[in-house]
Amino acid sequence: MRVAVVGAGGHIGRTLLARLSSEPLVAARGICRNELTAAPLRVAGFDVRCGAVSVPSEAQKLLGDCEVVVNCASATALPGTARHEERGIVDGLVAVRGPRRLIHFSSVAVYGTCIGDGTRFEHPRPDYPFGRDKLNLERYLRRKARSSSFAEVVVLRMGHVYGAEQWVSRFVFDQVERPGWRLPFDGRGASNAIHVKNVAAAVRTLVLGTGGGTFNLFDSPQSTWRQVFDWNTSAIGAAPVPGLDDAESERVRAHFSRIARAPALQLAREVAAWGKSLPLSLAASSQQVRNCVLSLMSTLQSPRLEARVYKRYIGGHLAARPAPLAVEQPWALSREAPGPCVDYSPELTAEDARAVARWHDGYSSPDALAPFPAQRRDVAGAAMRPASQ
Amino acid sequence: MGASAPQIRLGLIGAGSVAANYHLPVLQSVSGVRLQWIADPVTSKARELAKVYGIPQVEASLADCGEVDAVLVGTPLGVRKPIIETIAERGWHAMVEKPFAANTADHEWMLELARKRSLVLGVGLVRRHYETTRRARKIMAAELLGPVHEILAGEGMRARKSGRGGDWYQGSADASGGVLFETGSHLIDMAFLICGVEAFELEHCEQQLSGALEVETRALAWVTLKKGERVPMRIAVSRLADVYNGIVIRCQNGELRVPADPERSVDLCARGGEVVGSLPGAPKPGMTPALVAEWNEFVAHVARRDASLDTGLLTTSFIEKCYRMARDSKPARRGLS
Repeated sequence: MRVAVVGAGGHIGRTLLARLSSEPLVAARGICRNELTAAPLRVAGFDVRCGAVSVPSEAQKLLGDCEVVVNCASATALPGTARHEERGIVDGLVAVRGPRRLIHFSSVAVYGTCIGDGTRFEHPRPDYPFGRDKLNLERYLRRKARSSSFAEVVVLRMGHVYGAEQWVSRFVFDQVERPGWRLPFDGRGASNAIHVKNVAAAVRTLVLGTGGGTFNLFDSPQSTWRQVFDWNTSAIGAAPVPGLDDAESERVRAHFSRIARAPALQLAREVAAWGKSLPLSLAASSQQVRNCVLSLMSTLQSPRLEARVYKRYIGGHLAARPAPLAVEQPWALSREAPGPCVDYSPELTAEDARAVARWHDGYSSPDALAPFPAQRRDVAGAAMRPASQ
Repeated sequence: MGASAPQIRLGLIGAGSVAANYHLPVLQSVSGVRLQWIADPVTSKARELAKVYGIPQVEASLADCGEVDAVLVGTPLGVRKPIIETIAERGWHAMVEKPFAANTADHEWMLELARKRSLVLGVGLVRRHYETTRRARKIMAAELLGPVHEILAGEGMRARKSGRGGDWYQGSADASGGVLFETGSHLIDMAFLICGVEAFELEHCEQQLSGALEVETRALAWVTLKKGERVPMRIAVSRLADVYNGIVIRCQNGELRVPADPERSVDLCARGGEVVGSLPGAPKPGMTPALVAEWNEFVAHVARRDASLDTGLLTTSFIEKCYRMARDSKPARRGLS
């Protein structure tokens, strides 16, 4: 079975490609946009092709001989531009003749940044452009897929991914380095998080299985934030991140829930906050102005206008403002996301903890810069040989 | 702007990400600069930028561009040589984005062209103007930590979401030269500047290739500092793996850690690495004041016709020798295609 991973150079794509490549019945192929993102995969010996999936003729060449396409590409751009690019990828994918099954990565952000009681699996209520765009892309894909060669489409609402090279783990390690952050509710709640190896395990199950539909994708069974944080800190031999007491946690959650409840209220609050932050000389650097403009740009759906406004008026004037809350990360206060999760067998082992420790050591310790340790091996195990004059 | 401030008519060569994301947003804040035209073979990109930044003229070819005092050369290294020839012929001063040149011979050729025509050449090694770099230089110049024992410099991460298509110059060995050119030029220049390196001798270099594209370099050199001390300097730049980002200067009494990120702090550490004091980095966005300072310096030199700007010849020489050492020992370089 030929399987293409679109976005193979990304955070998840590489692990996914490695897992699928190890499957005896699968011939896995990575698809990257350019040679630089393809390079780490090529060096590691994977089958990689470069091209623009958003161009139908190129997509046909890259994917036409595959049975399954896994789309884990995600645009890196301002919201309007990202939306345009991601729709372009979907347009390219649905135009391909040949593949029968499409597995598309969406995000748990479709339920909101701080998942509360008001959002449902069938009717998610995103509260920020990123989540709204992911949900709109799901809907766009379903519409377009009706007239495509894909007989089955699986949409995965991906949880927060941790593991080597993943942002959640990086966040945990950053808190270890800069003590002060507290884990809301001492991490007792469901995390909606998933280790990157489990992502790969779940996708493998889906690739080899049949049927379509929309699923959440979290650790199986669901991990608490305490488990996720402790897994990471113990991997590097650090002390657990302390918990935030329940009263303060409730206060922070109430703040995020209020915002999530009504986008119009959010906008109004931001405008009001903007007014309070006058004089205008200060307004240019206010977070509220930025949020307000980004929301407006998102509504107008004009990438060109967005780029113009951002570059001209915002990009150079952003300033970080201290948050009045103990925790700035709404995802850390979410409740369990509603709906079914993919049924898969987790594949986490002790080696994964060692991998995350190696990664952490590599980027955080200057001693790791000392070159030419005996038999140094690169990330994929390919030996590097020294040059001599 | 005061009445006595110099007025520099500026042309932009290249409408890529360097011009769009770095230089153009700050050029509006630089006194005495008037944007006259933008030239790029892909005129659609140039037109878009011209609209946003109010640049009056867009051209596909330099031959059609009007007279200016100075230009920004924001094109990839691989296509730069004929552009430099034209610039010299037209008598324009130039701010050349890093990396300045592909090798020492090209670098010296550019300097010679400029010298013959009394032109000012600047280089876009913006990290020289980071507040963190300035602070680190002062600490090293004051010898607060005692004699230097070792220098470690690293930067890079696995190439992931680039947001760029197949035409991105950094994916082309011909256009970009590889990670040592793209990232290493900043890092090496910064380390040389902070430590006051005057000479070096490369001892060892290993590189990793993907096709013809260099994606990782690790090197060991012996550098000579101002007082004649020779100390080891280890460099690692990578697109294959996440590595430590910054410069660590290990001295007799402790070590100085200078981040690659201008917004992070410069840390003074005990000999074991424990942080004992931090000097804060610049507020976000940290690169903006550095870019403004870089342009102000260039404009001031152009106004005075002062061609004394350091274009980083030693850095070019270091990079060239790294590539040469790796190339000349062919079995050592793993080429995958």
